Parts: sequence; structure tokens; C-alpha cells
Amino acid sequence: MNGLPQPVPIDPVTVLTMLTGRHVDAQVAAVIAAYMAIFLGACLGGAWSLSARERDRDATAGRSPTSRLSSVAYLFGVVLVAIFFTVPAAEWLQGQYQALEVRWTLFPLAAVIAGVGDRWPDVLRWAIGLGKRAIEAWASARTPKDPHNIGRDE
Amino acid sequence: MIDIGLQVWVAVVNFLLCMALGYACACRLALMTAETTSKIFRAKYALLFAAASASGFGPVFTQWPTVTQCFLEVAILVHLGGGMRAWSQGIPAYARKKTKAQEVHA
Repeated sequence: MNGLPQPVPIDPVTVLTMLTGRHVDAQVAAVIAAYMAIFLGACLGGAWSLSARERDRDATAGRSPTSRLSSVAYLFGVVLVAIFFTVPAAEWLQGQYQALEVRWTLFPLAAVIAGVGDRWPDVLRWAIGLGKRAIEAWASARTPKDPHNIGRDE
Repeated sequence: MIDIGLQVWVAVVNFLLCMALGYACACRLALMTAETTSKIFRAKYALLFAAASASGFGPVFTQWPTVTQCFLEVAILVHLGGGMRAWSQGIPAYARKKTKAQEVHA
């Protein structure tokens, strides 16, 4: 014993595990707590993205402009998507950056996944465009310049 | 120790109240857009929706609701009901984003 107090984990998942762990097995409590954090984040992000949604976005897709039922269906959809994709995304993130532990990133990742909502296709298009431009820049930098053409374009 | 039958009934009532709260929030959130509504109002309703959903599905996460929690939900529903007329005609003036001219005037 070195006399120093042990650091107490204060991440959201551990705190929720402590709160839920009274009634169930410790391992089950850890899983429940993780999904509770995801559910909370997804609801928060989904509601925020619904509040930012353009009213004519549904109309252009052939539906009535953000009707009550369509907004409930939208919330249900984004929360479901966040529940499915948050854990793989958090594990991938931890694989890339060791410091970003899963128990810290579940809540914010769920909020971001649901918060982007139905704009994910736009985000993917932007990412593909960015990747294309990066590849083109890399390829043009690697292509050796024709010594006969140097200075002719200028 | 609370009776398990009563606990289940409280959970059912809590779930129904939370669904009503969540639906009321979703209806108002559906009216909002980033261009027209102030960020504070969007955040308030997003937070209320998340809290209502988490409370309603509490038993799934081994968080059993209490009778006082149900009273609180009834109170919030009554509070939201008070603004029903204002919200039925679109986003009320107090929730709207201030225009540049209004900011200058203020």
C-alpha cells in the first residue's frame, strides 16, 4: 500500500453501472448502463436534429411537411440507427486512438450519430468529395513533370 | 418494500405520461427549424424529450419510477398544455430567433 487514494472512475457508463447495479448482476448492469448512455445521447441528438430540420425536406421527398407522425417516425428511426451504430463506431475510435475509451465516447457518439440525422447522405457525399480531392492532389504531386513542358503553361 | 403489482402499475402510468410528454415535445420540435427558432428553445425541448424518453423506458434500464415522479410528469404536461394555443398557430414570438433589426433595436 502506498497510501495514495485510488482514482475513482467517473465516466458516465461507470456511474450508470453503479446506479443500476443494485438489482442485477454486475456484467448485466454494465451492458444496461452502456445502452442507457447511448439511448440518452441518441434521444438528445435526435430531438436536436428534428428541431433543425427544414419544413420542406419531407415535402420534397413526397411526404407532407413534417407532420406529427412523420416526426415521431423520424425520431424512432434516428434513435434506432444510433443504438446500432454507436458501439461499433466507439470501438473503431478506440482502435484508432487509445486515449478515447469506449466508456467515454458512447454518449457523445450516440448524440452525434442521431444529431446528424437524415443529413448522413450529405455528410458521406462531402467525405467522398474530400477523399477524391486528397487522392487527386496526392496523384498530381507524385506525377513527374515532363521536362519539355516545364514553363510552357505559364 | 413496495408491492410489485403497484410498481408495475406505476411504471405503466409513468410510461403513458412520458409518451404524452415525448409526443408533445416531438410536435413542437417538428414546427421548429434552425433558421426560425432560437437555439435555447430547441435545446430546452430536446432535453425535455430525452428526459421523458429515458424516464418512460426507465424499467428497461432497471430504473423503476415512483409515484412522485408521475406527479412531476403530470405537472410538466399541464405546463406544456398552457402553451398549446400559442403553439397551435406556429412558433410563438417568444421562441423565435431574433432578427438583426430586433437585435439592433434591443
